[in-house]
Amino acid sequence: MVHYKLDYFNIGGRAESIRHIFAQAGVEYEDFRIDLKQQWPQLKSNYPNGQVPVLEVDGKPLAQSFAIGRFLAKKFGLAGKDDWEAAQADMYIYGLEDVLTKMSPLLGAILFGQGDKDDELAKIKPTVLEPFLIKYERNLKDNGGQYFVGKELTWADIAIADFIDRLTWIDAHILDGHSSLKEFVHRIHNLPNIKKHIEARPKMPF
Amino acid sequence: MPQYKLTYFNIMGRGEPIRLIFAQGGIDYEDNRVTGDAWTAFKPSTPFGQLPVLEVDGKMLAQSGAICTYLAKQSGLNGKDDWEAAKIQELNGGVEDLLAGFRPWFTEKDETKKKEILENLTNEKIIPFLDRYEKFLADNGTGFFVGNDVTQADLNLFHWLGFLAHGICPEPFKKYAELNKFLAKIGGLPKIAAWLEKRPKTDM
Repeated sequence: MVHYKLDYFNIGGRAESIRHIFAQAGVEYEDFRIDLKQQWPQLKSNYPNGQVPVLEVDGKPLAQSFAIGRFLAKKFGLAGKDDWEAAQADMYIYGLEDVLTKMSPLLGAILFGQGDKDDELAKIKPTVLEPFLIKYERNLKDNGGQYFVGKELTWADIAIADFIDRLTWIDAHILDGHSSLKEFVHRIHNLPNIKKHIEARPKMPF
Repeated sequence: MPQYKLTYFNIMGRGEPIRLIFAQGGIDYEDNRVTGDAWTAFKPSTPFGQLPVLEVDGKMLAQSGAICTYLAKQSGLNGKDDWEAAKIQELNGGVEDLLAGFRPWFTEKDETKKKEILENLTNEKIIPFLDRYEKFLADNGTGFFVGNDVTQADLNLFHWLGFLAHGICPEPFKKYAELNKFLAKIGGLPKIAAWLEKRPKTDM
């Protein structure tokens, strides 16, 4: 029995989709949550890259949320049916990464009170978030509307649904005019295991 | 044999790690370099309105990381198991974090400000990155970054460490014994050496 431990902050951030992957796969893991302000300064030097998330697999550490998500997706049959589908899933996740990177100032405002949340949101909504949602909605429709890759659930669907859902915590109207994505998030988040995880998780800012 | 076509700008940048994988993997491909009008015309048909894009028998794949991993898997350059494949992603992820820090430097037009940005970047991000990657290489003990044979991580790092060594911070780079040995080692692999010889010479 492999022992998994996920070390991350007590927010969704870059690890919530990993938690969803574990939930969907029905695999037990230790969800080690670090308080960003109270605990992280003391714990940071314990991690080789000074970063989290880190996944410990029988004690061996693996950093980088993409590496962790992809590794688990492969293990749990959530990486598509072949190398090409795996590559497409990767592609969609990298697209999320691009958006998340550009959200740094906005997240700084939300998590640390640095700068003004509404100002930062106003800057990136038209230039980053809207184009992202338009593009992804088209990609979903082009693939038939059910899943982003192939004909079965992959970690791309899980991560996209999670990310888009959490965008609505920042801007409740962000999915107005994106009905396919709204339906997609609703459907993915009603998968029984993911639904149970969502109902049990603590409240978080992002 | 699938037909591969890589479309990117006429620079190394994010296309070069892909070209290195093609070279080391011994895979033939069309190295389609676009500029200006040709890019404008092609852009709407790409998945993300960005380059590089790989076409495999006409089907399109975007995002350099996804392209690299797909090609690495086809050519035995993705490690020997899922854990090594994950370690590759971990190392490449660290490179992506560093590149994200370069954005202000890339976009700054004022030369004085640009110099100042680079100085801060060097002390706050580049040196710690080089310290860590020197240690990863030493700890792995094989001369490669993952396992005991060449992987796509080595090719990706060969390109971006080269960028740092030759373009960005040549002086500080000199003190990293393992990283310098690594650059010589990968550059000396026959298929890589052949590609370096014949590739178009561009600034970036």
